[in-house]
Amino acid sequence: MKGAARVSEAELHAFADGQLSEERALTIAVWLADNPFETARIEKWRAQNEALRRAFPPPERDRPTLAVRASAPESPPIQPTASALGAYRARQKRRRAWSLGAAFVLGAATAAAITAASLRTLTTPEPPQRVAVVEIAPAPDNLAARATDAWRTYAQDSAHPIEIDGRDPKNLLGRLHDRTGLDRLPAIAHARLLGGRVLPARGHNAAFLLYQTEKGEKLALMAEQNGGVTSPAPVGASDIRALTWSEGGFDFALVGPAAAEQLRTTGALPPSR
Amino acid sequence: MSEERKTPPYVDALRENVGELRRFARALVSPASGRTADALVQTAIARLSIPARATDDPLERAFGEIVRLNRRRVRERGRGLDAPESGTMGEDDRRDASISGRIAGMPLDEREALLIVGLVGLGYEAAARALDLPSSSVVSRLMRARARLDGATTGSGSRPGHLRVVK
Repeated sequence: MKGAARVSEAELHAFADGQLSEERALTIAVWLADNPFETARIEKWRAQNEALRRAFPPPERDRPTLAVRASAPESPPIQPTASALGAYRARQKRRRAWSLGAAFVLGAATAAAITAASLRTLTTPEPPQRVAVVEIAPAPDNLAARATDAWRTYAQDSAHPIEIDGRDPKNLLGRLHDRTGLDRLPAIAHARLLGGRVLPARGHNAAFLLYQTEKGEKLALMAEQNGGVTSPAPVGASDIRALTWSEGGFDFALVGPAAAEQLRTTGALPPSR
Repeated sequence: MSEERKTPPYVDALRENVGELRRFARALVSPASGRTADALVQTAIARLSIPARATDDPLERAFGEIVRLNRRRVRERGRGLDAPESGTMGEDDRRDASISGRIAGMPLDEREALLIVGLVGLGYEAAARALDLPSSSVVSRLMRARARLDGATTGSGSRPGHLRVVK
């Protein structure tokens, strides 16, 4: 299903207890509007909590305080407010725009992974949601040169090539999202995400993600916000090559020692047109 | 010259919330007497007299200590513990016999998860620390407890872990 996500039984309980992020809670609240049976179950669990509090009131000689519950998250309303729904739909619209671009990379990565199923992969690409048609447009400015410089500085740094380890993707994505707006960590077939860092870029910040191929080569993916959409284009004549493209409001540069066509076959990019 | 003794912040936090601790303990040990619950709370607070790391939440630690003490109490007294103590049913139990009776009849692991989340209001991560469990275990026990409370453990209601597709 297009843009589908799944919600588990555990997630419904987390919703009832106010344990989900605001965004996820809103997603489920919207879904619940069409699922009265599940809505009734959530209401029942909340009623159980209330019944528990009534059945076991604080002992009378103690003055009740709200200090404990003050630190507990509020349970979200099952029916979201109109303003919350409006904001949610706007975010969904922006996210779909981004997912069009992200799926461009992820879809190609997954396709490559399937065709090379006999090869051992060190990373599992995310399933594609759709493959976008990307209009051909000029490649971004000097992104390739800056990405190559960053690759030379950090990919060659044996001690501290990254700020945050890729084995902690939640923390890594949180950091990159806060500083650069990047919404997800692109997967590259046959390469493992080592980690990432934040770099300066054209007056704001760029995300720098470092991968390692099965051959041990380091690949860097640099992403910074922009407004254009372009197709991948090779840049550079030395042994260090870069591919740049733009999509989903970001400029991307993939840098590594492999030649441009080899970089394409990593599965991160679609074939050139 | 008077000497002013300043209590550490964690003592104040416990003192302010001793009612919540006693409430949790009473529900946890139900149908045992309120005296049993209060004794657990007293012991738990006494054990916290040596503060752990400054970043620890003393209240969360106190809930965790009550849970550990009660588990030990259950082990020491065996299965017979869950039988009501003669003549000790509290007024609260009589006021809402249906839900307190079901709580009392629950397996201890489910009861702990349900009470720490549903009664105390701790978040899943904090509950996991207090119960010394992975948060996934807390959630699965909570799910079972709610189903049991609803009398739906063997019914044809929802299947735990069942996935639904949402847009």
